[in-house]
Amino acid sequence: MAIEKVSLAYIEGSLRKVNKTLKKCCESGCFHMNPPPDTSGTELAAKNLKDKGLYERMIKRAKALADNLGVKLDENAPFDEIEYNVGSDFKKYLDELDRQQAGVYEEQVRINSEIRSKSAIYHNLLGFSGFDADFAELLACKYLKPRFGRIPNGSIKKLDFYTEKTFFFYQFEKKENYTWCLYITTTAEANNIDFLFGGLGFERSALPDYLKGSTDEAARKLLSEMDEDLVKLGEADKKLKEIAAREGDKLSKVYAKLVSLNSSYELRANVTVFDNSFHFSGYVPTKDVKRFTEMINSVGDVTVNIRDVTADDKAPVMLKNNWLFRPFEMFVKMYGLPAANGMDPTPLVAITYMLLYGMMFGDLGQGLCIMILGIILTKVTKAGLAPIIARIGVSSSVFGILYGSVFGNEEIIQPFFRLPKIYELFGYTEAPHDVFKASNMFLILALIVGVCLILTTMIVNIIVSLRMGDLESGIFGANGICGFVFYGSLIVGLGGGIALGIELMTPAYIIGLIALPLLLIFFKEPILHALESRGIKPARTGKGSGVIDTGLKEKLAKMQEGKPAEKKSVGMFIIEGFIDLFEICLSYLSNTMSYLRIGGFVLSHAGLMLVFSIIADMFDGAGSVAVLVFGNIFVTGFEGFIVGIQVLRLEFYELFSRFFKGGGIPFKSVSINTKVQV
Amino acid sequence: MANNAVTAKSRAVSGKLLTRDEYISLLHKSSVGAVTSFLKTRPLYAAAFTDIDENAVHRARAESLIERSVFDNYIRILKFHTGKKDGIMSFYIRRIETEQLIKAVTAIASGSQESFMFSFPEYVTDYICFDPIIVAEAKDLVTLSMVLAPTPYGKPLHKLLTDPEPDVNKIITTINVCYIQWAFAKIDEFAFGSSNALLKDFFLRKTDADNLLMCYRMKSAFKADADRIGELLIPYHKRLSRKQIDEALRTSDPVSVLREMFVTERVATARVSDIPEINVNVSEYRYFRHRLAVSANEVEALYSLMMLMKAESTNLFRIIEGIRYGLPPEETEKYLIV
Repeated sequence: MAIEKVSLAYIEGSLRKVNKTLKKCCESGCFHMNPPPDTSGTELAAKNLKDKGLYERMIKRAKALADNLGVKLDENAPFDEIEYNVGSDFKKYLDELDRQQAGVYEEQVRINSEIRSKSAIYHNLLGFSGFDADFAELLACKYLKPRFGRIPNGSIKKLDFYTEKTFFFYQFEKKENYTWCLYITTTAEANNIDFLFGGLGFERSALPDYLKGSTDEAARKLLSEMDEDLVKLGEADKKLKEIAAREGDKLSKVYAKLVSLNSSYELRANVTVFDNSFHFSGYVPTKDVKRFTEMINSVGDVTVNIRDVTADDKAPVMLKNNWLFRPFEMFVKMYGLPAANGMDPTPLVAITYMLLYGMMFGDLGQGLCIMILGIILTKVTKAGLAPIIARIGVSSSVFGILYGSVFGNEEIIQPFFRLPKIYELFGYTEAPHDVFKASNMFLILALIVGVCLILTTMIVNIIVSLRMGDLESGIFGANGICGFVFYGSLIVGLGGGIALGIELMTPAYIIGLIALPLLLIFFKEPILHALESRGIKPARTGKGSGVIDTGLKEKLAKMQEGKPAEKKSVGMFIIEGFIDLFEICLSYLSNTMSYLRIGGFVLSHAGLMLVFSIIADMFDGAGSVAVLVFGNIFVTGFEGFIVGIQVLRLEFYELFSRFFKGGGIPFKSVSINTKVQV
Repeated sequence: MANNAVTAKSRAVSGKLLTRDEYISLLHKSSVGAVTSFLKTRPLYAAAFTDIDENAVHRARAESLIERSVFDNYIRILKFHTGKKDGIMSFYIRRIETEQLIKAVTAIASGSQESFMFSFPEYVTDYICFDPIIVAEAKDLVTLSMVLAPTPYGKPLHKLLTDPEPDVNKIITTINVCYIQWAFAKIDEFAFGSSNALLKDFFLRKTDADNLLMCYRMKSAFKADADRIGELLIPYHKRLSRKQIDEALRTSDPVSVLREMFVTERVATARVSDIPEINVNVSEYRYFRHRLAVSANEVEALYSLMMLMKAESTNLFRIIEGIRYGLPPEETEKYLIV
């Protein structure tokens, strides 16, 4: 259960070396940079080195040029061969490229705009197909006003009502909602008729006055002009493509270098400048300290001071696990990173997840399929869940051998519950025929597994809490020593009596191992107060008692600062104590019962496969095989998925809540490409 | 199945109604075109607005498209109803028919048939019982009486339309009565017991509000006397009886009393605005929103939805009007039914 040990590195040096130092930090790949200290309100004449955004404008310019040329930029492109190092070099290159493409690009934009405009006019003209008069002549009339446009179909009927008005109305193409039309009125009546048609929803089409001839002639002319434009556009495109082919690769590399330089500039915001020297700090994995120090020292005129991390430092957390457990870090990160001085629960999660999944979904055939799927997904995709699928597939296969289940068939391998020593241990006089006959055995085993896991997580909580000096959680908490003794004694007492016939529940046993721990939990507050008054700080954080630390308590404590401590009456103390105790006892019961689902899923898996087996028996030959194949695919997908979720639920609610102390911040090594590596 | 389908569809459509935040966003639009662009992105309006050029659209066109969207959505839901097409589920078509007939009567009486034709929603032509062009071509109310003769309105309106001195307000009241009578007859065919009573209550709530509004306007704008107003009341009520209105009209300051009645529990449960009608509108909006959420009856659900959609279209009209006349958003917001 390891968290990578980190050391704190203070780096200071001459201001002129700041960029090189930052670059080295990025190249080291193992430096987590701290934000700058808050020097406001101090007498120090320190200031933060602000990001000047020197390269941002050039990055935007490079992007714009790439857009114009149709070049796809890659910020990860190798840029070693790019010799430009200062802003003026980059500017000179971009200016030259701009000069080469500007004229061609502007020509391309102009032609495109012209084609769009002509295309719109052409489409408008299509609506007036069949109009055989000359546009130019009609538009030139002095006493007549022609209006081309479209009118809502519904409004055409209304025109019957206005037959006495001075206008001629011609319909052309009719579409779903509109009819393209022309109305002609006199110059004198134009305002009234325009108002009338406006009210009827008439929309005028933009037809330029340069149109000549009938609709067909005008349309043909426009098409021919557009063809000419397209040729010109093709030439412009060709020229731009030539520039792109010549300069595209270099532009991409220049862009990558600009991004890289800009990112190191962004880090400058974390640097404090004082008396012409720079200062910043960060964390380095202890195993990499030597290499890191050597790299920074190579810059010259820079010193690195390394010290161990103390409890007051807000050190970042880097999980360290072997290949088997590493994929399960995803689940831990989903819940929250452990505190820096806490414990990495990944190994526990990995073991329990694989164990519980295998128990709940034990089938050799289906497990192997899941494993193969997981391996393929791991190879093909980068999905974090893929390696987990492979591992739980193996676990499922192992438990499948124990359960004697191969694709739901329980005849091929002898299941463990048919071994005489096993079934006799659970009180059976003969071997259970199938899983259903052994259901009691599975439920008892599920409870035993649950009890073991609860006790294990209590031990973990005790160790972690005591290591962090949290006496409340470690000793008096529901998951502390008192809780462990109470729960363990109760289970041993009851289990011994029921299963083995050993009567452990003597008055001394009950008073010493069951009542006393409960009393200690009940009186934990006065006991902790007494310890505090004797100078022993119990560091009560409330963590480890099933409560996730959200920082709320600290905020509330801050709000309470300056206010007198609230005095609790004896009556209130007793009521609260009883409620707490009742809740704790209830949670022990409900959490233990929660593990019954393990047995439940064993039975449901067998039940589902039995259903498909019965259906398969109704068919012959290929039909029977098809049903079994479908059944196995369905059960593997459906139940396999549900079991995965249920196990995760057990992990998060039943296990994590007992010991997990979150609040850790992830270790993010600064990177030259602004990509953060966690 | 059909019952559930209309109810479920109505609830689904109600989820697409505009939210308060969206109203606020609309209030801050600077032009009708901007409102149109916004409505193009909303599922209830996208179909009607899809081909619209937001640079060319004007207020009347935008409003007409909003109304059309409401109607199209109603027709779309109606397709899920497998019962009689001319039953109570056609209430919204009958309501539009009533409104258009009232507009026609008013236009013919004032000689402005063009304005009726101009604003007539052409998409309802195939659903209503009269031809709008023939109605608009009627030179006077006597001609209208002949045009309406073959319709259900012919008989009840004949005497009033052929009167040498026709009373337009009485004709309007009679048209409204025709609508209520039609609705009640259809409800009796469709529902029994508490469901029957609840559906009738839906229609009577509007009658109460319409009666009060008419009294208020006749009294405040025309100083009409109590007897005259009494003649124009729709003879149906739920919570606001004829007697209560009479008593209010005969007080020393009837305008103030009537104004106060808008925010009594008889008409409005909401007291959210200084504008009497807004309180009524908001009360109705909240009531029907609740009914839509709890109702298992398809007519209740669809009627409630249509009331909510009408409220939304009213809000959009007010927003567009506010933008058109350059009102500050806070001022327009006072008139919104939310």
